[in-house]
Amino acid sequence: MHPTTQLLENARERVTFPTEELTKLIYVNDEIYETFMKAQKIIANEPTIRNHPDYHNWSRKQQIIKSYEKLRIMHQHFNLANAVHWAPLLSIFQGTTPTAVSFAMTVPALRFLGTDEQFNLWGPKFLTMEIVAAYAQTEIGHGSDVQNLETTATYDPQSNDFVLHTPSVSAVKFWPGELGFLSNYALVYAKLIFNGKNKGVHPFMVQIRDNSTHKPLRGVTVGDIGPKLGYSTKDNGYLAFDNYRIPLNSMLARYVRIENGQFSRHGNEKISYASMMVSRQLIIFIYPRMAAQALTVAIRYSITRQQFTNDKREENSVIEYQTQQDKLLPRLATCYGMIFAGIRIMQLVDDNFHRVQKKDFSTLQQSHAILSAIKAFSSQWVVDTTEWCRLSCGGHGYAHYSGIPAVYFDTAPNVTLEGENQVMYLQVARYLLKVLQYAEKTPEKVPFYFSFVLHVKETLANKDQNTSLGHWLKLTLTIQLIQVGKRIKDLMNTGKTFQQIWNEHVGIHLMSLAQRYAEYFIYLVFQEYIANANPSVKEILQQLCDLYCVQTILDNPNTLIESGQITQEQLKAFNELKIELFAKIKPQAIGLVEAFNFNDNALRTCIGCHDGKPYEYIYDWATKENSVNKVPQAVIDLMGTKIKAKL
Amino acid sequence: MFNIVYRPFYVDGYGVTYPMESTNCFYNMRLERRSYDLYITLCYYLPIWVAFLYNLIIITLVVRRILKHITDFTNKTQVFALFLYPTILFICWVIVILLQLSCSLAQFNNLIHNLFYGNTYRSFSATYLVCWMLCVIALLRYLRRQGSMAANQNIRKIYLKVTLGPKLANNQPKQLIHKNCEYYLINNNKLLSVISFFKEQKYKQYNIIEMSSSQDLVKCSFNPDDMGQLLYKENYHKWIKVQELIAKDPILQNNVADYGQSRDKLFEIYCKKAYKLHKLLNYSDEMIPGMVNSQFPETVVTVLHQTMFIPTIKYLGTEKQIEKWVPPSQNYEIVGCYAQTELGHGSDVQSLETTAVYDKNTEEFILNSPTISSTKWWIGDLGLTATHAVTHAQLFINGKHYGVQTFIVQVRDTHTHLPLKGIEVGDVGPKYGYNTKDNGYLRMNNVRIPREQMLMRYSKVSKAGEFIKAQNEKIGYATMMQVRTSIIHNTYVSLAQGLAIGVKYSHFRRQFKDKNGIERPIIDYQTQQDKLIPLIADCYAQGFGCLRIREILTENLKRITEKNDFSLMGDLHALLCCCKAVYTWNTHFGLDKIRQSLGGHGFLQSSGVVSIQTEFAPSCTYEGENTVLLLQTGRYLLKACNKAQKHQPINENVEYLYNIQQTLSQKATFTRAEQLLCPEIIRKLMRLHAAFYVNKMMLKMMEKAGEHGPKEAWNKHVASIAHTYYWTFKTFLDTLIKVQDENIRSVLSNLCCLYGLQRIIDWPIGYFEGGFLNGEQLEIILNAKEHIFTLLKPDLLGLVESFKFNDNALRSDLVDAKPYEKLLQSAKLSSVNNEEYQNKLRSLTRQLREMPKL
Repeated sequence: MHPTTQLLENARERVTFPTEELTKLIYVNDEIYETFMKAQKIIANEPTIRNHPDYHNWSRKQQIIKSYEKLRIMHQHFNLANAVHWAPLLSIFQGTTPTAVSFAMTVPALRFLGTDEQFNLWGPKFLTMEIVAAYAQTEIGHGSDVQNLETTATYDPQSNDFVLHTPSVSAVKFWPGELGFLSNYALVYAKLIFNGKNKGVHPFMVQIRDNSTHKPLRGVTVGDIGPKLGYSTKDNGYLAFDNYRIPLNSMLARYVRIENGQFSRHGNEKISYASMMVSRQLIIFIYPRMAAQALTVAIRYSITRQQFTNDKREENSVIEYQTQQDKLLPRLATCYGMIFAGIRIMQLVDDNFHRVQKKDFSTLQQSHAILSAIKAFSSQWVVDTTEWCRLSCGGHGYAHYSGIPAVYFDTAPNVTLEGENQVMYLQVARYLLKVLQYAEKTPEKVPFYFSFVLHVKETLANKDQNTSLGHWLKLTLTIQLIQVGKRIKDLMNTGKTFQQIWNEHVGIHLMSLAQRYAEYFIYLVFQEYIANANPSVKEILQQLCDLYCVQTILDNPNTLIESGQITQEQLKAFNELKIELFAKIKPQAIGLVEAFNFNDNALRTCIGCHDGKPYEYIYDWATKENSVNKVPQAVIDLMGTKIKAKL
Repeated sequence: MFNIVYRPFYVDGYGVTYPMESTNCFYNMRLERRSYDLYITLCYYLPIWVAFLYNLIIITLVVRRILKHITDFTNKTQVFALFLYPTILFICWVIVILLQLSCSLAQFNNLIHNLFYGNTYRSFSATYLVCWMLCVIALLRYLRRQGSMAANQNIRKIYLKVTLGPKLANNQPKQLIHKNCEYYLINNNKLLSVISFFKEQKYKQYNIIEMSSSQDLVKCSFNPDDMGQLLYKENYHKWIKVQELIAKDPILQNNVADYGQSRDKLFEIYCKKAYKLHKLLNYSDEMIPGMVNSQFPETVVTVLHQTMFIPTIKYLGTEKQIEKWVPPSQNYEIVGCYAQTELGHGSDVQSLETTAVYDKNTEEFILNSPTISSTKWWIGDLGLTATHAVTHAQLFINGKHYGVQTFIVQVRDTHTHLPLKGIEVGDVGPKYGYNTKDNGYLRMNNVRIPREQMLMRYSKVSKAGEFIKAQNEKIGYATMMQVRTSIIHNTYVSLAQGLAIGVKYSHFRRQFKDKNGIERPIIDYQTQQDKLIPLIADCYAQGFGCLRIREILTENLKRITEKNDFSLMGDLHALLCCCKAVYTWNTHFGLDKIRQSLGGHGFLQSSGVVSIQTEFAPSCTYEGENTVLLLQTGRYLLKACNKAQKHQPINENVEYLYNIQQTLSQKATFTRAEQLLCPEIIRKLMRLHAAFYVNKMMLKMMEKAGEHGPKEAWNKHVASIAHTYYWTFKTFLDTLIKVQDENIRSVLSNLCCLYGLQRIIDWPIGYFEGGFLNGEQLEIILNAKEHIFTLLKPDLLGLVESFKFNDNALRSDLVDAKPYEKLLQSAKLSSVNNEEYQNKLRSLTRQLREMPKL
């Protein structure tokens, strides 16, 4: 057996828990698991679309052509309208799924904001690809601030239709995915002008390209916005209208309607968050799994990579180094927390949808707050983790052959898309302050995952500090919440307006507060999972949860120190505990990442393959699959002759 | 008469207009059918069609011009069109009126007085008025544009206008200086003279024209040019000159169309650039390669030739070898690279696997790559360009092992550029960034090189195969030191570049309305400030740190070459290791933060930040993996600590190790946030912190003496980070004390404090564990930080302006005078929007639709 394969096998033998139990937890149910495994297999076995080592040498144009090919084959095997089917594909492909936005954002928006007739009119056409529709909300000058969008839809009572218009450059729709060349429809968010009055921002389903020629229609300017950090095959586009007329039926009319020349509102408008919730939920659900891919590569590589000889004149696997463990293990622990949180939130959001459809809005705000907090927290965490995985692989992490840069590129936009993280956090902080008020006046209105506000006094008394590590997270959160509340009150007394305080004086504290909440929520879910888990994996999950808590406390001890709730000895003890946990988790690490069951093709890697052999694979790829090596003529021309001649 | 059914419409700056829709006066004229038709044709259709055609021509002209000069949107033709069109329309109307008058005065009278025709008349005059208004608006716009064009041109020329006339300042700078008095009180005995000096000084105030839609004047308390001089020292003018040269040259200029190209195409473009650069600039000047690199979104081919290949020969070669190899290298007859790392080994040089066996009979070395993991990997410039490589290999003579030595190996023929016999060489494949860098691999199979091609200034191999050991082996690191210094310099440049974009755009971008209904620039939000301002402090700290390191480096080289004195080598090595590690991490994650602070647009290549980030990213792992480097500094600190305990002399950078126990008993005593505007207080705190961690590492080592190995890495790691923070802060402080200009000094003092405070806030555990700080003081520190934000906010633009980047260097659409217009233009230039390619995609999309689905 190859020595590196041997190293991996040895490591696998040391794993003491059944990995399939964790696999069950990770993939929620059999349907998701089976589809995922099937997708991995199909993509690995289909020569035209399997991940190509040379992919990142290609120009964007070539990559896009390839993504069409992928879309074609995927359509033959999967029902792309079902998130269970296409969502896992995101993590096993080079490039993004070409119709993801259409199905993840536009279709839900149609369902929740359109009337049933409207949904029946357009919905089925999505399945046959007759319609691919972009979700055109963001403008070049406005992203997070939806109410200030500038595109106008003016109602014309004479012809009983709307005129869509882009009044200025800053009003050009910018960034919507799939707008660049794929979609023929777009769900355009525009300010409705009715009889000269602004009636707020509403979505309009608009045809932008011709059905047969696929050329832009008259009055529509549309195109791709150019190369980005990642997402190279995603055609994020721009879109401008020049007094473009659209029929009355274009406006999604479940909650607002124009009938017989009268404007009316129906039902609760909060529901317009519905479609955003679906895509945010997917971000939380899928992307931590991509971080898990990076972790799989990094941990396998750390086992096979050996550096510096020890006393016995043998080289150590780099995973033996504390500094390497510190980069990888806490992130591995958090990864499990994130995955569980993603699943739990999916359930929360689903539950909320059922309620909303019955016009029960009681859980809307709670789900929205949790969703926002975790979306922001997890997307940032995924990016950072991927980056640290890359750094932990040393120089080889920088090569696309490691598979990690691609993960980084394709997760990086999540920090700013679907709600910029900072804006998300501020919304969570606002909700937390509101919940604090509930606790004082109407305790029965406090939702389950926020019940810590009911025990403020007990928490602050800091009595059960030895019972669980989670207590410290709760304590930090409680102290920060109380402090921010007090700070705002104090500043209000000095005569400043609420908005001024919010933006200029407490911003940093609010961000921090919301982050603490996200951390605490993940802990809560982690505990739920441990309680319900199979006994054989309880221990390892508890260790992961402990490591997660210790790392979280050590990363942000400021609040605890400031308030004097923690002593120097306790801090020292936490440091010791962390090192103890490292020793316990290190031998299990390989099992923990392999519970995700990614195959080599999905990982797109040659340094973290199942059978090790990083150097052999990387050498093979570079020498045999590298197109740059085949065309050095330009170099020969330039380097060989000209410079020498003239200099 | 021709019967035209639909009316033409025209689009101009005012939206869509259907001309003369409201003027139905002619329909009601009591005229014969024929003359009525004539009227309609002459006065209605004809002028409209003329105007329409005219409009069309103008639009075509404007569009053509725009396409030609994408960068200059506000050109005169466009304004001309705006101005002339209503005039033409107006003239048309005059003709109509004249015709009407000539027709019949009585009828005209009738027209005015008759109630029935009154309506017509009113609508007629309304149109007339509208026409005039259009003219006036056009004129006003023209004038305004001319004004802003002049401003734009100024900005383009010097980018930023500094009015030097001294004005009496408002109170702010005064306050700043007063707050810093506490600091001078400690550091300057001549306090009284200083204060009296303040009183006499007339404060200068510098106005900066902000690059924003509102053209607000932004005040800045210091002169950015002077600050720039401080940052770049003697290289200031060179820095500006190099940027100018590159911005002017059509080949070298940055071009948005280059993004998204395939690697081979990009490589071709950058070969052309490299060629041009070598013609323009003197590359043997050691500052030039670093300056040039920051100017392009991708790296320039053949940089390592000048920064590693030639220096290695100079440091490690004998006089004879230098004479033989350096001149042809300078002429680019040969292009070299530096082949050290292998697939299986990077940081651990002693474990390299490539072998060089000496063959006495032929006086040659035989080089071999025995295993796959011994393949030389990642070697910059080797993949496609280099003809020679400085190669590290394990030397064996008569079966005896003599450690790693350096050899010059020719890898390609200098004429055909094909690999030589026994050599396998090529590119290692696509990477995170560095698309145009041909990092290469090299395998050697019984490659024979003559004995003279081992670099033998220090270690030697005689003809007979005797090995003579070097007196000081450290000299081998000399090249590495140069390179690490330039990496450290790059941590500053890259961060500065990112900040210049981030800060300017944050002043331009407005989001969310305040109570007056005006959208606020995002820099007003505390959360945005929290992302950017600490990074500015870091950037200055790293910049000054690098300047100091350069000084030490020069001193060290001087000592070695003049007196053969290696005493500084160890200290410098330790300093370079920890600074390289800490600074590269900081810049790397800082750039990511900046990109995120730009919102979605930061994700676009045309934002400029993306390429800075991807190009910078490898710095954390190349030329010494950061973690490994920190461990080396850790080892150095341990040694220094031992020496200090025995009262032996140690370097001034680690003076805090003397009397360490006594030092550790100290405590911070401040009670108010204002006190923290004094850098000296923070310096003491950070000194304690560094001492605390070094002491902790020492204790752990003694505890576990004997059981060496991977487990004890952690404490060394943190100790060296704490040491780096302290050293950087101290250097910053030393630099700012020497600054003459009061205004600059006070800003720098605030930045310096912020650098320290942010370090404490990010990592308070040590302060707390060591008992130097208590909880309340930590809270005071937080307040002090927010206070410094408010002090620094007006100077932010000035602070990034001092980095002195020109537009071409920033290559960012977001710092343009009109970012949104520029973004859209760049988008339209994207290669994917090319019509031919779009057609291809259209047919693919159609195929998709027609295909059967599941």
